[in-house]
Amino acid sequence: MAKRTFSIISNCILLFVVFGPLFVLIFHADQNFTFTAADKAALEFTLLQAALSSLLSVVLAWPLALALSRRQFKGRHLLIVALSVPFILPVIVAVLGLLSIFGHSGILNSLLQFFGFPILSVYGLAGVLLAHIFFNIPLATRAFLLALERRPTELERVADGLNLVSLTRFWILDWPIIRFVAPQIFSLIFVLCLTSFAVVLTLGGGPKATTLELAIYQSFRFELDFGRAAFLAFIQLCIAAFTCTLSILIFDLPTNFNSGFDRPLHKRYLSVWSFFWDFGVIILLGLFLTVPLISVLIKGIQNFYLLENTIWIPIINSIVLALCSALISTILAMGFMNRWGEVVGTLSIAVSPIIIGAGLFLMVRNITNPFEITFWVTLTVNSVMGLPFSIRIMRPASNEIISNFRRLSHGPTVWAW
Amino acid sequence: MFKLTFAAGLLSAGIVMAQNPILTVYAPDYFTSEWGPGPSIEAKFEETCNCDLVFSAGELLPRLVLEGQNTKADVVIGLNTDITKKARELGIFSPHNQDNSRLNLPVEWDDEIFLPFDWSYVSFVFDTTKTDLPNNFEELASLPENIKIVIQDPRSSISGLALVLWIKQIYGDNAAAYWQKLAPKILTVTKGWSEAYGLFTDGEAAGVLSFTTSPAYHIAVEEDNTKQAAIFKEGHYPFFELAAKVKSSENDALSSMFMKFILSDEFQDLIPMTNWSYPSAQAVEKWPSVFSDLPMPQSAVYLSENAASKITKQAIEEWRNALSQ
Repeated sequence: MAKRTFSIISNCILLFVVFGPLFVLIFHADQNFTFTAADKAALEFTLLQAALSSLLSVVLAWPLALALSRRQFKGRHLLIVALSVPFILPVIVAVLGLLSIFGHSGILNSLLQFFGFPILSVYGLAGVLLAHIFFNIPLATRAFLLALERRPTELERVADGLNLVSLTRFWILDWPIIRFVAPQIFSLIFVLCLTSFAVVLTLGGGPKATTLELAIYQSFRFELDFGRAAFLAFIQLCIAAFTCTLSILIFDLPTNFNSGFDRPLHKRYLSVWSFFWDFGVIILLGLFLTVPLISVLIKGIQNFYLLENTIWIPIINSIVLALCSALISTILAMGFMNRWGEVVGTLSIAVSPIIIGAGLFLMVRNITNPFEITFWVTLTVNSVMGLPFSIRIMRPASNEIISNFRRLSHGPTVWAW
Repeated sequence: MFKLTFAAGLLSAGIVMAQNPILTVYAPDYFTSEWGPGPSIEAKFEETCNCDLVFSAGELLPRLVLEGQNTKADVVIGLNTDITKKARELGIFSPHNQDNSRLNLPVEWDDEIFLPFDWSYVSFVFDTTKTDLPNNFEELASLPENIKIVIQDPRSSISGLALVLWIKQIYGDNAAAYWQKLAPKILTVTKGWSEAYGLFTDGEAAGVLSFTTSPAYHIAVEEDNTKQAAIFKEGHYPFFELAAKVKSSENDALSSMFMKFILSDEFQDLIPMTNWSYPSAQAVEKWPSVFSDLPMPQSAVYLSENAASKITKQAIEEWRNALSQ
């Protein structure tokens, strides 16, 4: 009962903060929307890049996660921590880091030139995908890794005992995990790439690589046509909703490996071939993900002296805001612990922040001026936007708890709260 | 009204600072950041106004439209000419009441609403260690194959829009053909000026769409003379940044005082070295030498807001088609 109430409250907050503003903005306008040839071209490119980016991220993240889960080496933990860095970098900084390797005058092209080869241009669809997998492979890898680490070691012990090899082993041990995690993470990355704009334009090399988000920005900022901006944002939301629903309907099924005792494996039956494969994957993808970061780090240290003392105020603000948002987001996420909760929760990042801001303003302007309570507005929006991530991290554990203890909780003395 | 608060302010200035009237100025983020002109302008104005100037940073026009008559803004600073038509149509601004003849601009300025506080010419800035400077648009399009430039998207950036209008004004019906010719030179297109300039200073491209005054920063701060603006014989598109008074302001006297302050030497002196642009109401002799020594385009290719709004859609569409091939 209480659980249900909580879920309803969470959903209402999401509705109020994300969907409310969008619909208020649409109904506020004269509803005379046009969809131009440029919009159509943008829509096509948006779908193409988002689908390819998320597919590639998921496909490449799996071998990396598997390798990291079954190999121990010095620096493994550091590598896993470093994996979360691309995601929090300001996009243009990450793009400059990538370009220092793959750009027109990057390391790669300098090497090519040195050996007399022609220069490779990264700009175009390839560049967009490169940046998006740079941002999102880490996200997918961590999700897979989390699931792999939850898998009871007994299963592997049994598989070893039965002498299961390659395909059969994959089918029985790995496939259930992929089936559970991949659609969740695919839809999350798809929605993230759907609203990508500055990265796509810069690395896409020109207006061929335009996303709907640019048209939203243009309508809002230059044409002051809020209705059109909201209409385009609504199309974006529908695409996100469709993709999340589809990926869950086709793929997702609840996984429950009954929990084991997690006794450590003393001896692993892994072939020599898989040793080379695993470390090949770790080294290649590890370099791809860390070298641009190192280049950013070097530039940052060189310019450290430019920082002024006043930097401490924004740093403290950011930390306070981040901690509060994380806490609220985690609590809210408990209201979305099923597959449909996951779909709805993900939609919070499918609506552009400028639309949320403008719509929220219209909703509360008779009560207060939101520009005067920016901290609270930012906190609320951030908490809601963190939902897709917290839901995905918590849901596997939540599933497990529910399937293991549900019957027990129905006993006479145990209450849901 | 103002006189009363002013007097009250004087009386209590030593006791309660908070009783000073507040002048709320909406400005873009870059303007109020500590390396922008905002903080020094605030300090200078507060020396004499007996008020508290409060900058409120963020999107200017969308915010004003949303707030409508309830806006807290007294003054808006940092608008630019490409959006004045839309802004004027909103009817939320009142005349600035300043003498336009005090302005020193490359064009005749007779706008009663929008008052320029600085300006510059749109131009391509090059790293001269990598290439010679082109002297006109044709030379720009026929630079060596490995010399690339970065521009901004006219749909998301005002400098990008200025370039599209500039080329449309010079080439007219042949603008689309020129864009096709220029396309192979363009390494990429960015969302805004800062992304493009970042690519340029990182050495990714030899040239970038920026302003004739950008090299002053490299000369004054970094002692680097290698970054130079190309001066085209066709003339350059001037770019003005504007301030305007909000009609519904309750502090009309104070905002009038601020508009007057904008044209004063105290304000104008701050502009070059904090906003890296020319002051709008000062003779060249008063500019810092690093600015007066910069090469200056011969003529301005300027479009009134009505002329600009007529060709904007077509010019952007031609640009998009030429660069999408």
